[in-house]
Amino acid sequence: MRWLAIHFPLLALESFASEASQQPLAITGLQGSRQRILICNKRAAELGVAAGMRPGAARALCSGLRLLPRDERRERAALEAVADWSGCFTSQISLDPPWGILLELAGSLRLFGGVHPLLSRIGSGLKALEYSTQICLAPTPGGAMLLAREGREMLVPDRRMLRRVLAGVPLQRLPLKRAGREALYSMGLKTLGDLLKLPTAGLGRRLGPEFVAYLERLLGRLPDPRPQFLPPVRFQRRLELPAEVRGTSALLFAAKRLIMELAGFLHARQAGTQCLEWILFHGGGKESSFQLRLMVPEREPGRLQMLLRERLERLKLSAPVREIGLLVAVIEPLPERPLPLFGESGVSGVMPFLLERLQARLGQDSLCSIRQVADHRPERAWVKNGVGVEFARAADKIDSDPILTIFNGLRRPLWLLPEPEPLVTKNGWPWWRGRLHLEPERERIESGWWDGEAVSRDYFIARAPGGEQLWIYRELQGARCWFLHGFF
Amino acid sequence: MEVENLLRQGSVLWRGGALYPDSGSGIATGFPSLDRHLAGRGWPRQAVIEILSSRPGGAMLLLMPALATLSREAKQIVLIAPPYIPYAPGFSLHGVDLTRLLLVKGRDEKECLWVLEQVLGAGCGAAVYWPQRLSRIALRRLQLAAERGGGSGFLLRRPELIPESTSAALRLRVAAAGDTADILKRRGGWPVEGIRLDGS
Repeated sequence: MRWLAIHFPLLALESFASEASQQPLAITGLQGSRQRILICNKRAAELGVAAGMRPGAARALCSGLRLLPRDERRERAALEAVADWSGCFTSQISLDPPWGILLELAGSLRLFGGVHPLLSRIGSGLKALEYSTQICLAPTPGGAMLLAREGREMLVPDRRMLRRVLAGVPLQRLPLKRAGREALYSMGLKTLGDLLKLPTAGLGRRLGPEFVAYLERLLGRLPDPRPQFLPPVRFQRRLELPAEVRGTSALLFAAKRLIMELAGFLHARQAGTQCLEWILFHGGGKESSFQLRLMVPEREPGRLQMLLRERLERLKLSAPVREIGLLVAVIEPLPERPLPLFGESGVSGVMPFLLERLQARLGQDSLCSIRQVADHRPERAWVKNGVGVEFARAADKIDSDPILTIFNGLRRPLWLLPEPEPLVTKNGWPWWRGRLHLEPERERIESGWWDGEAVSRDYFIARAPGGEQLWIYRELQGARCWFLHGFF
Repeated sequence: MEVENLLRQGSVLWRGGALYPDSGSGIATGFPSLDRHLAGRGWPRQAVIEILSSRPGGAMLLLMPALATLSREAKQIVLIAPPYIPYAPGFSLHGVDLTRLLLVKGRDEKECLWVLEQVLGAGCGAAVYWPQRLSRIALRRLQLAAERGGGSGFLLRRPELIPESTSAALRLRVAAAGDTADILKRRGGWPVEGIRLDGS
């Protein structure tokens, strides 16, 4: 077993994105029965604020200090977000609240080419998430976490070495009851190493069998099963912004962390998404949202960011933004190979990306494709298709369209008017830039009686004096008017 | 010596009266009588082509054989803000694979030109647009995008109010009847008038 413990020493602070800001900030919480400063950011520390201070005292030192109560739910959410992200390295993930995560990596070493490549990928990923971390790899989860919390960032290869390293851990780090700890101090014991030299039977009597079992698990002599983290199937995150944001470029910057987390979340599920819903919280309970849609399921963070940038460029902020949220409700399995979107031509890799850029910039409805429909009524013989995965799948179809056969031998124009236009007649002849000359063939279309949109027309190809070819028809009923319906 | 070197480079200097030696690099127009007059024996790739015609919807008919070829080669074809509905049965009858045909609409001419530049730059097979006004700079940008992406950009324009000179690689005028074409400007050749367009 190779357990990687990740400890987040500043999570209480860093779960608020404000930590990054230049403004002094401190988190308060109960210490014993009193409110105390638990942790503060660098800016506050420079001004003399320190953990353990009373909030009033801290404020006296630094008038601009922003005090926030510790938010355990927020910390938990942040931890879950990182756990989700780490799903791209292993499926054996366990939360170790309040500030830790455990990953079992034995099964992933080969895939990632060994311990060092794997750890360097995890390390750079954590850096991108912008949390401070202390990590340790050891044969037992308890041992790894204990060392990580101590800041002993190291790789412990086996249980013998683990025992030697753990020996240096001071006793106050162990989950001992106060009475037990004091009894050990009075015996002159200071570290875990001192404790382990004592006979086990005596320890059990003094400290209870539970504590002995804890030690056995710590050293790997007893199994230490951990509850497995089961990731949610929808991705939902909120991130507080350092300061009110009025420009979209600052928004893009803040969105980066959410996109990174989403990428890990999707990777863990071998999935991608086609719709990212962004929610902007303006304060005062007001919020606005917009969607980023993709042509094919995607999870690559660089591309998601690029698309978001395009989308943000045409977004007008209705009010300053205080918090930003990302919701991905539907994920889709992502095949290992990219979808063969536009065949095997050199274009295939480029076009889907392009389509998404266009869609992000112009809006959802600005792209479409067209398709034939087996209907004799000209205006019903085609439909508009949205451009999306269906478009891609249709493009994969090799068979030619059977619909073609109904138009066998018939001529159809290249352009259709959205609505047929009435043509004026002079001396009984239809006119368009002059008198129209009809070609001899006439095509009678009588259809649609079954759905109440019946047409009953004689179609002709007509030639204008300038030579333009028109597609015109004459109603077979009523006033028998002439209409222009299309151009060749 | 110098001159010979330049001639050999082809694109720098050409010999009056003869087309470029390069043959077959273009997309066959489907009209052999027209191909004969075009360097590359067809619509130039990596280039912007202007076609002037008073036909409604422009000289689209002239492009159909080439678009059909490109679509069968699985190349993407983009129509930007066409003036009427591109009629699916009509395009199909000309052999265009509709799954390769994409329609994009923009809010205004500026946005349409942005789209055209993007799709040309991204390497689509052909893009068609119907500009009202077009600055020299915009045309130049389109030309650069086409060179980058390798496709052909077709600008279908009405013949009125068009400046006499153009930086497009090829400028054609097609009669309203669609049966004759004049080459007003081409690379590597003088203008030619009265080309009969008989289908292949």
